[in-house]
Amino acid sequence: MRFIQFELRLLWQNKLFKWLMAAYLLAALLAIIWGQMGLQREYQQRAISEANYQAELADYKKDAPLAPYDSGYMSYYQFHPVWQKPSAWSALIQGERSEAATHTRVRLLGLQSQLSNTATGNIAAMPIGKLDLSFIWIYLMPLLIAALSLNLLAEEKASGRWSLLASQVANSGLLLTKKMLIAAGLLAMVNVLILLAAVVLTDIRFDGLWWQIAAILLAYQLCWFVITGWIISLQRSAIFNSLLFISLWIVFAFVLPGLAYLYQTQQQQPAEHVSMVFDQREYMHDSWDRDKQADFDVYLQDYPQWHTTESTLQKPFDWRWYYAMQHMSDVIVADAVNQFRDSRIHSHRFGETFAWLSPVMRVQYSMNRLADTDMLASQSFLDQVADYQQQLRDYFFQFYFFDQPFTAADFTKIPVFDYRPIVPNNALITLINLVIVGLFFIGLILLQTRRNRG
Amino acid sequence: MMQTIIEIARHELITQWRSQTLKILLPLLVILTALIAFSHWQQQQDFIEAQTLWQQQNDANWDAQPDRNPHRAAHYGTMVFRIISPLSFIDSGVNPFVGNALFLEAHRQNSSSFKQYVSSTAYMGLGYLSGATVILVIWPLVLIALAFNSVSGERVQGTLRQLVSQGISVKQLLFGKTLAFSLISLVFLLVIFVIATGFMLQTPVHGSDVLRMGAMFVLYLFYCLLWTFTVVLFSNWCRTNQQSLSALLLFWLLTVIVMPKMAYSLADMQYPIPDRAVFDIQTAQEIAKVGNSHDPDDPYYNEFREQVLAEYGVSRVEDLPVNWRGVLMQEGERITSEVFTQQYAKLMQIAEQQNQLVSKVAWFSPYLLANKLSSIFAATNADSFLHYENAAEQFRFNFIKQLNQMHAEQIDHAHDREQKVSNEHLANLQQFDYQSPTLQAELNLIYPPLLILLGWLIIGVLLLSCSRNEV
Repeated sequence: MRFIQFELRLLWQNKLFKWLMAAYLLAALLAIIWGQMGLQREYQQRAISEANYQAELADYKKDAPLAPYDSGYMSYYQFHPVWQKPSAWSALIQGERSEAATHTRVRLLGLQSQLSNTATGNIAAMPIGKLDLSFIWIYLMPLLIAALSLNLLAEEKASGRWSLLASQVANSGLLLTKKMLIAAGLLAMVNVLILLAAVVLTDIRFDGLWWQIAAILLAYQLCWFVITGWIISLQRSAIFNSLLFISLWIVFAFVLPGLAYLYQTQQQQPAEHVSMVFDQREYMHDSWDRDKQADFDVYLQDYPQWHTTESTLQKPFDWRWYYAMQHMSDVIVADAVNQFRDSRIHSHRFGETFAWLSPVMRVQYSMNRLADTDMLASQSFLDQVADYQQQLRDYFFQFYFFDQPFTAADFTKIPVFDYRPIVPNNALITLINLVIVGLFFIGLILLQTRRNRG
Repeated sequence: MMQTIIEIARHELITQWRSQTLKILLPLLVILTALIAFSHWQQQQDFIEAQTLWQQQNDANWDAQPDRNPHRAAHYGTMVFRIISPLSFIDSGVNPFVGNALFLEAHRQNSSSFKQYVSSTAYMGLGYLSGATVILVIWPLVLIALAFNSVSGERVQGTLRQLVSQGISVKQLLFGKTLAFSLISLVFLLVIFVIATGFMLQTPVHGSDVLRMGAMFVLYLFYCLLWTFTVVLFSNWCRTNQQSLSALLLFWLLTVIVMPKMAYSLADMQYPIPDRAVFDIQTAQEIAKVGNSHDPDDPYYNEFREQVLAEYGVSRVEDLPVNWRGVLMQEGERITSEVFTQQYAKLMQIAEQQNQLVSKVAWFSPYLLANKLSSIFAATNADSFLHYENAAEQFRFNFIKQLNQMHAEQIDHAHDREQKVSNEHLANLQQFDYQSPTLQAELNLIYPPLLILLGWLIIGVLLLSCSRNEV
């Protein structure tokens, strides 16, 4: 106990230590506040689109009941907002959310060409990226750990204190381990403080997810302390330590993720999925020149739920045929859509597998999953939008196909999109991964200690 | 004076040549960069080929389409594919982050989000892996590793005192060291650019690309020079080697990683951009404010109708010598395009405000300056992308306008939908012929960061020359 007290006092007197900790804490708090502001802005944007949606519907409602032709007209112009509702954690862990539109609108026309709309945003900012708490945790915290503990031994040696200390205790390695554990403990306390601040400052709740993220963060932190410990155990100069550490950091945080991306892209044909828009559009427009009645008969055969409708098309134009063809244009590109989905998932899975080699990548994949901001979430959103459009079709088709007027009461029953996040479940694998990396470096330390003694 | 500097540089180069650090780092970096450049070059050629094929197929489909009602053809629309610049394989700029296919149809411009590859770039938090990133982000670290102790080491070992007593000034020492490390950077860049030139020569090269590549080389050299100044100066200022290394690493971290990201985050907070849904809503609302062409009682379109009727001296739309629907659609198209362009310009203005804020921060981050210039030279900057989008929107407007004219002149108002025009008429429409901006046209973008960068270089030289003989 006295040892801990003494070490704490020593650290407290260390200006660098105090400043670094304070800077880290401050940066983290700032990132939380910024992140939360960004999240609130997303909610505000959603409120705007919802208000606009309700106003537009109210406008049509004034003319209710609408004849089937008019309600067909309404479906042509009426967009329905869809939103990949962000989790509370996405304020801190933005992940891949900025890479695709998370809030857009769809109507009853061919879906694929609508989904390929780009997100708005500052293009110049994209290559640089933004600063969020996860970046501070995943990329910057290792450097903080190095600054705090990398030169514990080298400094003690330089100040001449080490020989004095080492002569007083039997096991100098143990002494060093204790010193590092104290530094690690303090950083862990600061990290828990940050996590608690997140609960206070954001919508994050103190629940199972909080514990999972806290566990990953602390394991990650410990992992980098072990790596630092291994470097110290080499008993080289402070300079060598710094250079070795920074090289390892660059390999884990820059080279390996970069190579993983390079490999992922080598597996793909560039821009192959443009064909979705291409084929969809060819089909859609050719349908105007084909035998409309024949196309419609085929549609009724494929979708027996509508077969009791009057099968002869109205002249010169029939909404039933129009929406049927719009839907068919999605159906004929289904293979390409599936391939697009497979490419994305496959690429994501490969990245996750590759992450076994780099704790930096692993924790990033893991946190993005837990915050529901990764590619799986984005793909699930696209799938859910497709399901939603099917619901809309099922709902509105009743009126067109069975010649029903669209009454004021029917407006309230229009299906509403509600994004459901997929359940996260990779925290355990991440912990195992981090433990393996940790054990690997502990093994190296033990090996090195034996060598140092011998 | 000059001779002493060269002698010091020669001596430093010999020391470095014998040191482990250079022997390991230089080949490693060259191999890594060459590997990246090779794979990016290959992907770039694949992409250009794919985009060219798509464009050809699109044009062929357009020419081969059946006789169509012009309005149908306007909705069938056309696609244009942005062919990336041949220097993308060195600096990919915004290319991996943007969609490069635009679907142009009546009433709206749909920029598709199909990126070159579906993989996420989010896991490369320290920067997209490209030749430019290795040179701009990683090479400074190598310079730090090589040179952090170049002066402080001499001071700690006491050799500095010896040198000064021999009549060599610290100033000469610093310039000598700077020369040595600049030469190492030059060798690195030369190797990289020789390899890159090898790739470039595989395909027909335009004179402008040679100019751009030359500009990139000079830029990178300046950037390396600036870093060499920084490292040597820090090494001179710091008492110990460890201090010098820590300070330099912190400086690198702040100016290369933290400040750029922080600047864009701050700018985004300060000048928020509406998201996709809200932007679409705002555009639609602005268009609706002008008038609704489908509403028979709409005041704007009623007035427009009266104008057209008066122009042709008739009293009913049925008596017009042209198809009223085509005229009406063209007016609607004009309004839509105008409002869209306005709204989009507003959006870009917000982005520009963000970039202005960032460029203020960039005064203190040579990385941001060099990064911007590098992507301008490589023609992969955000502005080059926006230039393309704008040109495409203008093309779209003219394209639809011609179709609406056809509609007005060749389709009778009665039984409008059942009539078609011959596909020959459709095939005669002009194709999108895009001219990317030249370097001369972008001088206004190039000057500000370039001047600041040069300013820093001059300050570096001044600081070196002002160094006093402290030993």
